[in-house]
Amino acid sequence: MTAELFTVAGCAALLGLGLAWPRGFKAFAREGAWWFAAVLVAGGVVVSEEAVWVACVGVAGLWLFRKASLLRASVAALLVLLSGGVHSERGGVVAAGLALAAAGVVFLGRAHPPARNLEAARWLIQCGVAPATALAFLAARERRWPFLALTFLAALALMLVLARGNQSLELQARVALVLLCLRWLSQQRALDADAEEVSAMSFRPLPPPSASAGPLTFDERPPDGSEHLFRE
Amino acid sequence: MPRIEKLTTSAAADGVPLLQSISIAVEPGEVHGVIGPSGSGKTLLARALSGLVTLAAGGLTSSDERAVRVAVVPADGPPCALNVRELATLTGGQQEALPVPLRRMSLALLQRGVRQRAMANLLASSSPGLLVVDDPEFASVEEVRAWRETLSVSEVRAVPVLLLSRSEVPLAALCSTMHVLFDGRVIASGRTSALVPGAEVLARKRYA
Repeated sequence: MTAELFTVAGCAALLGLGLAWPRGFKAFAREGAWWFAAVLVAGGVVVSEEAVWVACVGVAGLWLFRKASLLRASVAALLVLLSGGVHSERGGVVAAGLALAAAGVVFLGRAHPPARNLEAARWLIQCGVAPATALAFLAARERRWPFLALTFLAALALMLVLARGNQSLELQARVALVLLCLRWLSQQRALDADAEEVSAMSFRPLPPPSASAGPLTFDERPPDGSEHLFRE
Repeated sequence: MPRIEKLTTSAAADGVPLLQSISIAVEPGEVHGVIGPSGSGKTLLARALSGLVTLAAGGLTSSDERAVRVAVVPADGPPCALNVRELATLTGGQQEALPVPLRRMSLALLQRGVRQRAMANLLASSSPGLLVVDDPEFASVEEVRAWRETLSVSEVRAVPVLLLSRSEVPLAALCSTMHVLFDGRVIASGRTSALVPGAEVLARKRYA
């Protein structure tokens, strides 16, 4: 069984590499991974129901890895739930809960690195948006995070109920729960700090060159002493 | 006319600044291209122009010594979740210029080239002092033609534009002047026809 799975995965990886790698790493990441996933699932159907389930978990993980979002987390959880139903009804539900919880942790973790939010504020201000408007816009965006976190907490709680009796799954659920709570708390702290900093922002144009630099002509020799290669 | 003058970023870990003494002047209505290999500093230049990187010297000024606002179209989409309508509302851009189905879509969901052109269109109509497009999508002949159309829209034509890319032939099709960036320095500047004549001939054939 394991050997068969490895064979299928190997074939899928080779096909993905062969089709997309020559066009560069980005093309491989974009398309090769999908070929890999498609062949993995198709191969799984041929090998056994269990292999389908494993492949679906892999595909869901791959999809989330490329870009975590609530929609993707939900679809991935549904995919795992459906494929898990083929394998074992209760196992499928628990696996779906785990996938959703993991997606939640990933999603919240990626959604708001504090530096990124400040960068967004600076970018909006440079694009001509008033600082107060940029702040209000970003704050409105962030208000939804607590609701999302609550959704994931609810999913985890459901999973805990369903995983009763299975020590390994219960342990995983508890760890995920603690991680999610910690992430949520740090998120709130980061948001407060961001709000203060963005409030103090204003449009800061790049400084003009110092007067001592003197007027610049474009016939000037580059600073490394080399000649301009081409002139009009 | 915005002039980037002797722009130098603060020193990196090895003590050498990543961008050194970059000088470029773009007239309103002109499209300039900055061409350079990966790692030459194109994206860093875009970030420095939008104030996201600390400068050690030099900067940006206009001919009348007024501050210049730089609108940057990032290579990988806006740094926050936005749809077309939101961006238009925030920046005062003219969303009427864009197709109706596009207006309610999240920018992140749009195809890269379409997203960049929509952003360029909207940001240009907020009348920035300089519009910078980092790594415009030139994957096909149609994409380059679509860029040409975008750059000919009146709102975009009214602002100075700087395109930063690795691909000289598409840039030659779009830019009147080119600057070659290598290792964080502009090593050559000039009219496209003088700087990369071969690329210009190819561009004329390919994107006619």
